Amino acid sequence: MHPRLATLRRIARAPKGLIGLLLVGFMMILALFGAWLAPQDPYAQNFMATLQPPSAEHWFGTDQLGRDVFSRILLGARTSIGIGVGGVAVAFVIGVPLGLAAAYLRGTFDSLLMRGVDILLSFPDIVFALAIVAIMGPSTLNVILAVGIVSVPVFIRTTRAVAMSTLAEPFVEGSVSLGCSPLRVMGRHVLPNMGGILVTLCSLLFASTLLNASGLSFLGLGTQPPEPEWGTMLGESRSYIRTHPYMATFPGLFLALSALGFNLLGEELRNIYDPTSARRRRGQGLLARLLNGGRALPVPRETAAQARARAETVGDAAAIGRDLEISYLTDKGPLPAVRGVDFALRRGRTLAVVGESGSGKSTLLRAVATLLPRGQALVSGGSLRIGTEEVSALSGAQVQALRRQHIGVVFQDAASALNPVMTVGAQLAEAITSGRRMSPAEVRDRSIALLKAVQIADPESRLDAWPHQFSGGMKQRIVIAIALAQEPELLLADEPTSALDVTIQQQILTLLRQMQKERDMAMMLVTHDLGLVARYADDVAVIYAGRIVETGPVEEVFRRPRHPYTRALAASTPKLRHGGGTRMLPAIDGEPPMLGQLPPGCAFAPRCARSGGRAVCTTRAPELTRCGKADVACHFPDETESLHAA
Amino acid sequence: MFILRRFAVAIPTLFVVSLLAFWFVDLIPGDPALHLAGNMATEDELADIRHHLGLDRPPLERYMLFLRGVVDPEIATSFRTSRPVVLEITERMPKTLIIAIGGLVIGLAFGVVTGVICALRQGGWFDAVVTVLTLAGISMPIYWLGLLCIWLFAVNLGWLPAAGAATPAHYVLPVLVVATRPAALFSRLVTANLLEVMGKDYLDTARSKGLSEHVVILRHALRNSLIAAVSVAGVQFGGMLGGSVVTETVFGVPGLGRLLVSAVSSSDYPVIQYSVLMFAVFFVLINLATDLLGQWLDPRTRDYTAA
Amino acid sequence: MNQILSAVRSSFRARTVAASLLLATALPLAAIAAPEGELRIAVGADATTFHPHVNSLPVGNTVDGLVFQQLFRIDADNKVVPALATDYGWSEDGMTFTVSFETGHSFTNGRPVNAEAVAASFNQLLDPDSGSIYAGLYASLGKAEAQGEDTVVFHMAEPNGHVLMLLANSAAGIIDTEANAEMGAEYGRKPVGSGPYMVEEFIGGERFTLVPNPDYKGARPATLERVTFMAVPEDGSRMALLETGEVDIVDRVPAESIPTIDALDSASVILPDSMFSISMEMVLRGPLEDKRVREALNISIDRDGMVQGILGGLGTPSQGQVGPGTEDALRVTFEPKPYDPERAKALLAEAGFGPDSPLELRVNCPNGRYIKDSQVCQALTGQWQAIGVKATPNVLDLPSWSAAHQVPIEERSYDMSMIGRATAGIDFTVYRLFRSGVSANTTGFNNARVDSLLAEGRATTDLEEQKKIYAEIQQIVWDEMPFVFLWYQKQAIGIADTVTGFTIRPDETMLFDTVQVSVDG
Ligand code: SF4
Repeated sequence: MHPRLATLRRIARAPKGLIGLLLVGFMMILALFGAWLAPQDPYAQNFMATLQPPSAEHWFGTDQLGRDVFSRILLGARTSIGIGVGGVAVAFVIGVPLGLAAAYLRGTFDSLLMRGVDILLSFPDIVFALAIVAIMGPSTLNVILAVGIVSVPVFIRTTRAVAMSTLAEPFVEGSVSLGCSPLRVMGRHVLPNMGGILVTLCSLLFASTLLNASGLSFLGLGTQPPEPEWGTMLGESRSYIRTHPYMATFPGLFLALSALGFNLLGEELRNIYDPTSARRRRGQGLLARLLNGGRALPVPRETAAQARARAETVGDAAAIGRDLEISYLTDKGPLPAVRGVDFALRRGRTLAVVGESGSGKSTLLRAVATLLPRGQALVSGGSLRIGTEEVSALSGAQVQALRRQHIGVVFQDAASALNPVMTVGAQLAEAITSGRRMSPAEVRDRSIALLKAVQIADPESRLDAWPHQFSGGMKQRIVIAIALAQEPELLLADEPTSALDVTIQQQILTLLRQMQKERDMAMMLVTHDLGLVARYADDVAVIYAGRIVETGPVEEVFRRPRHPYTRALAASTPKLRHGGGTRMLPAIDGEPPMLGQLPPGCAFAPRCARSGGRAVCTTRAPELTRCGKADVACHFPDETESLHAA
Repeated sequence: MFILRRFAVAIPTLFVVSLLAFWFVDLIPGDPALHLAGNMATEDELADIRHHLGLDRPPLERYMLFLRGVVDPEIATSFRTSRPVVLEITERMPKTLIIAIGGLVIGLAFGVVTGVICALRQGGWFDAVVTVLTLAGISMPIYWLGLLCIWLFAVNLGWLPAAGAATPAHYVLPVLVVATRPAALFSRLVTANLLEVMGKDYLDTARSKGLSEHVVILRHALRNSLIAAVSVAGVQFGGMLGGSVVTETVFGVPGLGRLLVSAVSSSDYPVIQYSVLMFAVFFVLINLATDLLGQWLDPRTRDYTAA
Repeated sequence: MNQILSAVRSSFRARTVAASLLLATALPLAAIAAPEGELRIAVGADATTFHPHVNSLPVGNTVDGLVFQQLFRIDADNKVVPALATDYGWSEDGMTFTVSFETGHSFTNGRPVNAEAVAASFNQLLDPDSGSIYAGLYASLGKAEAQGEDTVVFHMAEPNGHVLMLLANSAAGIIDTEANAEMGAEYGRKPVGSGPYMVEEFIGGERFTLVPNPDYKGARPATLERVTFMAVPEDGSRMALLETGEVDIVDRVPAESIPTIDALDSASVILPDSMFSISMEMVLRGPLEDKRVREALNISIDRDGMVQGILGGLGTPSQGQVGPGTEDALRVTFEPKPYDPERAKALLAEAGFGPDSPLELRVNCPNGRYIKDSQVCQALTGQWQAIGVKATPNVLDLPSWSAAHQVPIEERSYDMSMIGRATAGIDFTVYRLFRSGVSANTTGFNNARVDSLLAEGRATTDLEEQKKIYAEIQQIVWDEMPFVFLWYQKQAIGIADTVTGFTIRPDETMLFDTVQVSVDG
């Protein structure tokens, strides 16, 4: 499908967007064809029939000159919508190129332009519009110019800001340094990136432009009579507000509806183009879930491996997952991202969860951390126990207590894991005091102790510093300190070093390992870097398409990888070097399956070199079975690929 | 130091504004003398009045006088009342400020509260109601809302005075009416920003500390989402000063907006020129305040500007 | 009415003391009632200044009439009557005009209103450098000179038979020039006068209040404890103030609000005449130089229909260019122009315009200057289109509309423009509108007979002579039709039932001489 059509479909799927689209479409039709649809002459006066209420002859009544309001509304659509669209177009045509030029040229041009914007903004709108209209004479065209120019600064500022951040992207910087012409850079990279924002801005500004124009009409500077225009009609009708209230109703209604339509459309566009504000509607997700019924929730059945895991994990386990299923709520219903996973996190041990991005490993960690995004994902099957508690049975307050006392989380990107607008000390203190009462001095002592523990020098003076004043590695240490604040039994680390460079990476991992050992915590280390696993973990679980395909003690899994996926990973990780020569998972032919598009049978089958097209691989999903000291989910755990390849 | 430098940067801007404000009045058709003397005056009478107003002097001399008038209020007098413009402006400024600031504060408060609730209850009935209300607020011409409010609250219910500015009660309606735009705007802005912030890791950090969802939202999410709202508030405030004319006309409040419009319609050049200049100074101050507030909210920007 | 005025004149000339006696006896009678009650008024226009030499607004005239005393004044019946003046007379050659006046009055700061003060007040009015916008209008008065304590002599710059009218206008209020010099522009807000009231408070653009002048000893003592004016430009809001009882009087009631206010238990609307005469002033060039065309345009519009349909009754079809109350002694009226579109078509055809070669007209109108101006513009062009004239309405914002009249005739971008004229005095009106070469004459009207009559009218001080002269001028203008005469506006004032004795003159000046506000209302 053409991408633009796809956007349209997405808009139409949301109720607000649909209403907006319909309204805007309706108004556009009025604007284009209203003049031909008018049943009566919109200019014809009839002093015998002034100020009549709506009737069969005059659907919307007549105005103070006895003209047919319905016909005037139809004809006025062209001018009114024209003012809105035209005003925005003027602002767009002037503002966007200037904003782009400012972002690209920087320096003098930029600062002069911004000064110009300041000057423009220093004139009150009404005075500016008044000046334009007064100098050039009042006409619809000049009103368009006036309300358009008033909106220019918004376009300049937005365009400039977005363009600057796009220009700073490495790939754009690259093409700039390669000597690409500015126009090409703008056309190829910058404009496509800001299209969504500009479209959104346009539709939102439309409403305010229309209202600005109606304000001008109020002051007698808008479209001049007898030309019908909704804002002017509304302004004229205000003296009849008491005696003939219906006179204002229709122009007001059309004005408000068109503003509403463009606003709704703009909002929906923003939701589509700005992924951060896109939220799946919970209502729909729930509805879809209900419709799908039990199908999405497979009946848990205990496998041999599970039984064994249950037998093994007694007493010392800080967290146990059994046949855990975690689903994302989508428009199409819940989609499981983690399916039938069993694991146990035991005190004093580190479990590394390894997989490609999208394999469900981070989702698993979030579930254990009880931090699945509300309304977007949930534990849809199996059981998750933390300490002695079954998580699904806990109330909100109990979950908070659990998070406080039992769980510490270290996030992937320390920079975004710390609140930029609070001091490090305040964030640390929050973690320490959460759920308990302590004197400020105690809090301070504890904060300092924690910072010392994570090896931050001069902790006393750093408490008042802001996150942005720390390097990436230091920030991650602070995050670790926060995680440790209330001595959790469970430490969850989600790719804690992927944002750091190699030397820092090792320091952080060593620190984490050290903390885990010292405090006898259970740690879950999620990573895509097999190289780290051997050195910093005790156990490993390889996860593929939401399922664990091989798990066991590190030595066993690395010495004798049995699952073809694990083998491919291991083979392409040179010597499993501890120095971390390669940090990325090696390329394996093919792509991991998309969420919700799992092949039948073994999920790895399409990429598997071992399968050799054997039917069982594509019909029946392999279950984890014990092989040596590890568990492997493959129908042929003891074969090797080379055998079949040969 | 920072403040001083900001002022230094603003001076060229203000200078250009003063030039524009000065010559811009000449572009507006209309003769101040004609306005004073009425449409029956003869050429000679008009010439005498023009001479008295100093309009027959060369432009450069008039501009210099205009600049001197900035420091010497005795030179800068209104054509219509002969009083120093500074008196005319200071007499009316408080009324405009009460309405603009009052409207902004109430709008901000309402917008933030509803914005937060909407963000937390996306798709719920509250969200739907507020969305409709805010869109109505954005889509409704202010003079209409004003007249309807007068009709309802003053004439029908008799709770509040209809127009004027004599007592605090007179300000209730204009402030509330003026508050609708920012309330609607902030409500949407806060919702949008909050939803954006809600995806940030530091909220999960806060949650993982075991904080309640309220604390997470109020302490961590809201402040971050307000940063963008504050910069919009600055621009909005400037707009409200400019847009005060309509509200002031409807509610009979003698503020700057009405002063300016009546000055424009009667070609009272000095009042137009100095008002525009004052609006520009206001804008500089508002920008400064916005930046300072933004810096207070967002420590990251502090080091930028200090560097 | 004319007889009454002339009777007053002759009695003065005879130096009888009857008038003074009358004043003297009226004084104690009026002084019996102590001022009581507060009158609250909402007006549409912002008062800017009360300085009589600068003020040009009806609100200012109202206040000036209360705050200042004058030698002559215009009474509620729109007649020029003596106020302070006790006697006046011309020299033989008509170049000296002498007025004697009642003494014993003083400004609120204690300075006596004596010959010196009166002369100083007039000399400032006559000095364009003082900022007086009426210096030109009054220029014929020449120079004022004090003679003794109670007489002022005007050494005329040219003969002017209309001096009394000038002296009765509110611009001729007697100001305290010394206080003015001390206070500067503030004098415009808190003027020091000697009238029955004084300004207590003035909050720019919002409101001002008048309170009785305790030292006033004249014939028109204050009847109210306080008069408060509020400026509320928006019609709907101003009406709401009357409905809620926050004010007692509102001016400029829009036609569509009249039923609402009349329906109130506590208030009603009065519709006094206004001297505002609204016309379409033509640019006399090309086809419009043809009188048949001008007549066709004049008789093809349904004035009564428009007055009822658009103005909501707030008008009276014109019976001459000069509006009612302008100077009733000299004003004459005629049959209103008929509504005869068939004859109009015939006249146009006679002048050579028909369906193939239609007359084209560009019609300028202001937006928001006169009652329903822009709608009238649309209605007018509609009716002209009905007789085959290609008339296009051009509704302009006020500055552009006003600027269009300033262009030399040949360069005008329009063919006719809606203008309302309201001036005190027949001579002033017709001289400025129809004397060739005067800048307020926007039509380019040039009639030798009118020019010479105008000169004669000024030269004579004889009322009968003047009546003949000005009647002829008005007749010529009415026949020549340099304007499309429309109507005289009516004022619409909403008044609470508690107010009695309120009058408003056709020049929109409010008179409070006998106003009472009953407290129980
Ligand atoms: S089950 Fe078959 S497809 Fe799956 S990994 Fe084993 S061999 Fe490959």
